[in-house]
Amino acid sequence: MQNLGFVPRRVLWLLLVLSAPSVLAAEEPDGAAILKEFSTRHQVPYEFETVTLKMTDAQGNETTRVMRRYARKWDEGKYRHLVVFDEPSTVHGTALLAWQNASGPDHQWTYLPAQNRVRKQSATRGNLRQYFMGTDLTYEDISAEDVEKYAYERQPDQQLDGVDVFVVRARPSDPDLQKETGYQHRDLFLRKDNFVLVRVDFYDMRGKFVKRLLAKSEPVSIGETAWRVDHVLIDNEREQHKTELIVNARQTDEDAVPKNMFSSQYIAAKRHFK
Amino acid sequence: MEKTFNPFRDVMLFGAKFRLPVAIVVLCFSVFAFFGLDQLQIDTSLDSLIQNDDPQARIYEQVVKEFGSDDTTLVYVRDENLWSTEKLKALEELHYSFADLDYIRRVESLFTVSSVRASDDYVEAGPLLPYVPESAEELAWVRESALYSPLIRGNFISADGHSTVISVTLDKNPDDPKFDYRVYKDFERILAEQGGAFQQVFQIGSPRVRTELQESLFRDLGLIGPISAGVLIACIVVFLRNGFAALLPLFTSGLSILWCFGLMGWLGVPLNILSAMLPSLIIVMGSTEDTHILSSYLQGLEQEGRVSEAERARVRFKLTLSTMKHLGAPLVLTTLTTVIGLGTNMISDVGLIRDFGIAATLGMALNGLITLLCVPMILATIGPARFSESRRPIFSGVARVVLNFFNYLRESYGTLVLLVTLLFGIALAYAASQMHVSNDPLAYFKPQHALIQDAETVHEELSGMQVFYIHVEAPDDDAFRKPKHLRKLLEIENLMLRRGAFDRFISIADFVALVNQEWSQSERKQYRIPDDEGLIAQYLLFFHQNDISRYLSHDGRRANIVVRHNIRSSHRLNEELRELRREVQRILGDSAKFEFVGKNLMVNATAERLMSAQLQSLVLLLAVIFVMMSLLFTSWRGGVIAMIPNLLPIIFTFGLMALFGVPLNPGTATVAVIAIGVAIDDTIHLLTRYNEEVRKTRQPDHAIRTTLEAEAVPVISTSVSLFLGFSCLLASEFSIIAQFGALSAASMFFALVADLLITPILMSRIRLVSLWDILALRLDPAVIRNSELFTGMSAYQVRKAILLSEVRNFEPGQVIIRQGAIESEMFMLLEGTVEIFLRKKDRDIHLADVAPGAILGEVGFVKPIQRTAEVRAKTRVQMLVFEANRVRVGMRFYPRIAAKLNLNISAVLGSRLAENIQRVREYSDDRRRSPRFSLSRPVTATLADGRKVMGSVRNLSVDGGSLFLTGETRLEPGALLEFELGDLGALGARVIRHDNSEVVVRFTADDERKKDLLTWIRAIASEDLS
Repeated sequence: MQNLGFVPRRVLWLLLVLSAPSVLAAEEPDGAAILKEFSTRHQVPYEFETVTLKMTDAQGNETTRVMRRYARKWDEGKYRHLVVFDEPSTVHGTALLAWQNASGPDHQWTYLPAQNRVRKQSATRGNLRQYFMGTDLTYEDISAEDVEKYAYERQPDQQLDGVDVFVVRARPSDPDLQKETGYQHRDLFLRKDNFVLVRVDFYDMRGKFVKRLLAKSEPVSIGETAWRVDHVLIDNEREQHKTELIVNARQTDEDAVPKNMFSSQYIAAKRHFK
Repeated sequence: MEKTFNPFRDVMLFGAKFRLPVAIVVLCFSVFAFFGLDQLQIDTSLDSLIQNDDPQARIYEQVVKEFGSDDTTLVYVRDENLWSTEKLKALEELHYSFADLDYIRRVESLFTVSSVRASDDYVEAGPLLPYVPESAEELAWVRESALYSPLIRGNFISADGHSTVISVTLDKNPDDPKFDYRVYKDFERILAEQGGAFQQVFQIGSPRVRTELQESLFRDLGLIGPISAGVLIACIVVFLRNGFAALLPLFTSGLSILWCFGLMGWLGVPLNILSAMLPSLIIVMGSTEDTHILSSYLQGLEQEGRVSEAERARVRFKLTLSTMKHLGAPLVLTTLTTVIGLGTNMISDVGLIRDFGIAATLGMALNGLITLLCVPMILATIGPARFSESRRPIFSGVARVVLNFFNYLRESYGTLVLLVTLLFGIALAYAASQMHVSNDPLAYFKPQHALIQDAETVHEELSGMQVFYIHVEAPDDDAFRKPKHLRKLLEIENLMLRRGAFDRFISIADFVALVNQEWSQSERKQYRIPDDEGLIAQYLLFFHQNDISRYLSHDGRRANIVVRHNIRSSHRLNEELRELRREVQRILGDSAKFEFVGKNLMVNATAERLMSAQLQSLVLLLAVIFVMMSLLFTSWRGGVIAMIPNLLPIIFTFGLMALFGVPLNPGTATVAVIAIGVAIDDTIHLLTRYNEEVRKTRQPDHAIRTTLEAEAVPVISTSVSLFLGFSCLLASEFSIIAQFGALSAASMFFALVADLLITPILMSRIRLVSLWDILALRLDPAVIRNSELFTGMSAYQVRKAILLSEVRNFEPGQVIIRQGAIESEMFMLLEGTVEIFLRKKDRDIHLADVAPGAILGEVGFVKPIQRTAEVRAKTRVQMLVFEANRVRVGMRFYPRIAAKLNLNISAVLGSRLAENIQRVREYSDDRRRSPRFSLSRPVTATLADGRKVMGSVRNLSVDGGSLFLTGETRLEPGALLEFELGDLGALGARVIRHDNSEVVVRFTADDERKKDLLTWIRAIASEDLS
């Protein structure tokens, strides 16, 4: 089981860029091998980002939010995440805490500053399909993806904007996940040269196209092997709605993501406020 | 007096005179029309129910663009075991089957609708059914959650949990006229394939409404037309007892329908649900003129008696000509009034009525044209030419009974009938003023229609399929993300909840209140708007923008309360909205403005306009018909009188509508104009015939009877045909058409009563002159020029005065004025020559011959007086007869004519008086100079042979006198005799002539002797005078 970081797992994949694995040079890898290589390249134990979320509706109206994202590698390789909204002022301090769970669904808490209360939120029973905070990312999208619960099938390679890419189809293989997921499958497009994920196509349970995630900027290096894409677009065709994630700043040192911040008490004490 | 000039006649006779060219033209146009049928479009859209200039349309477009369409299709699913894995999986399949269709914008169901619910330590937020649960516990939990959520209960799940809906929003293709039909059929296919898993499934929404409208339209077209045709044949056969007479109207109607639909196709005028009655209207209304023509033709045939084989063609042609001469003008006029009646619908703001108006006007105009061209052509070619006693056009049976009854009422209780009618009219007019309006498309269907039943089911178990928005706009950004405004939204919802008129209402306030409740341990009292603006913003983070985009604008300035209801009465809906508007205004105050927005509302709002538009149409029609009637009868007062029998059916019909709660809708709105258009036909026929009859007879009552007997068959048969024809519309699948049919049938009944009862009562009190009679009257210009009676009158006024008078024809030798009779009539000689005689005991003294233009018996007009001479026709003579009382009644509506006529009569009388005075004066002078006296004493005269004769002298003057002999002596002219005149002595005289007992003599005395005679006469005269 791999932890691909906080939110948007698939987004994270975009934000992650691993250097090309030498093991794959010798023979044609299958889907699982591609994903395994992909996931091992881009892991970082500590990560903090400030992200601007720009949402555009069918009429072209834009809504902008600014959030902080914290991710820290925890026991058993699982990750814990904290997302805190800073803007607009009305949602300042709203927080989502998520713990990746090795033996079951993730644990999630939501903090609403105006209520000054932390409520646990079910990470099952359809919450996976719920859009996250009005964006075009569902909780499933932002939850950590357990690669062992998926079957990855390699599809014929393609070229995107002149760049060769692997195409891997990810299907939920775990029975529980199959029940809860909102997607029959996702098609992942990874550059062959550096395993950067440049596109994801999402298909609903009927195999109908729902939305597309696209890298909108060149990857930047954040470590020895890890790379990130700082600008991602999710074009939700079904909802006629778009969300852009633009990373404004990033830190990968441990001090940026102290261990004690990943608890409900930390949030309830409003320590997550800037 | 001969009617030789008739501006209509050449047109009327065109079909009979140019049969082959007419047949070719008709055939060519029929082929042209046939190919137009392929172009014919069908319009069942809601847009046709909305008035063109509705200001709400612009607002609606803006709101729909921002908040999404209010037009959704619901797929209703009911099953007792809905909350089982198996059924939910089937429901999910159904959901996705609809979602898979390429024109689907959005599908909402239990699988997508947002649920926010707290449980233990959790707050669950997400789709109610992200997947189909397998365990009983989970199924129960989901069911409970569905019933728990105010966003779901009533919207997506019924209170018993057995019924749900899948709500589908379509990406409509405005360029695809068959879009709705395609959608409906696709949905039906899916439901047929997958709906079997449930106990009950159906779709309901605009695609179904439009498709059902269209299919019902076709069923109506296929059903009602033939029924109407059957009824028409039956009526004509019953009344005219002639099979040919039954087929002819069918031919003209069928051709009219073909031409009408073909032209509609070429002109791009679509068929709509009101057009469903078009074939029936054309068949029934269009055949009335055919019936009048055929009735007249068959009456003429009856008068012809036996016709030999060789004579048939001539008889046909002759009868056709006389029929068309007689009925051509009324035919044109009645067609015109019907066309105008229907044509007024063309100015309607409502597309549905406007298109129907165009179609119906086109249909009736074409029918009039076809009747004008084809009926004379057919009658002149193959019309009946043999009269069969067994097929005598009946004036017996029902028609006789009806007419006798009306005659009895008219003659016995004429005034009372008018009074009662007036009272009923006032009462029903008041009732009509309380009439309601309705324009809801669902109300077009009969209550037992499956669509209505299904709509009721959805309404009862969930909430009505009709949707509108209360669109609220505040001046500030994010106003509806703040407590103050959100609370106002909730207050409005609570108000609607209390009023109970609407089924379900959701606003952004409900989303906020629900999350607040769930974040507050699901306490019901926490279903409210929190005080903290920030908390509201944080609550809204739980929803995707599209989840709330239907309720809140992006900038937060505008909000929608989405209201679902099942009110199908425009009147009730508009009343509710009026009340709601007041309350919402009170709640919002100046903080925000609001609009009620929805296509359904615009359609219903049109109902309000329907009333005023209908009134406008009616007033316009009445004005046009009034002007026509005034022109036709050359008197505005006559126009008013002619309108009365036609207004009564409308007042009575609208009154009944109100009493029976039948609303004014696009169907019933056309009843009035159609009713008046039809009713005026019979009025024109009756008044025209009456005017002809009353000129022939001195007795108005007799003229009325004659008129009614002549017109009863066509009037009753057309009325019964129309009554039954309109009743056929009751078979329509549309309630508005059935209502239209019932009301039109009722109005036909009222029109029949008005025409056969009220019109004759009014007719007996008036005399009207029709324009075409005036135009058709041919007069010797010398008559007008010479007659003192018409001095100072224009030729038009002379014609009118003549037509208002009684015309009598006399054969040569026939006595016109009998000497000694006491009479009160004045005569004017129009044609021929009369002689004036002084009747004596033993002989008539011819006084003079009189030429046209002369006035006779003028003193009698002033005061009944003994006639002093006799007037006889020397040749065939036409006389105008003026009787003081009849002239007064007859010219009641033509005061100018009456005034001039009276002035001229006064002038004639004055002239006569002046002449007489002059004569008296001359006579007195003469008497002074040479008085003439009749001697009362006997006179003796001695003849040359010595014989003596006895007698008395009259007209004695110095020149001579008349001797009236008492004996038998015959005196030859030139004989000499000598009078013994008392103390004057003998006086010689010569016989001038001897007629009967009068001997006219001339004195032979010299001047000196005559002076003595004068002295003697004066003395005798003084003695006699004393």
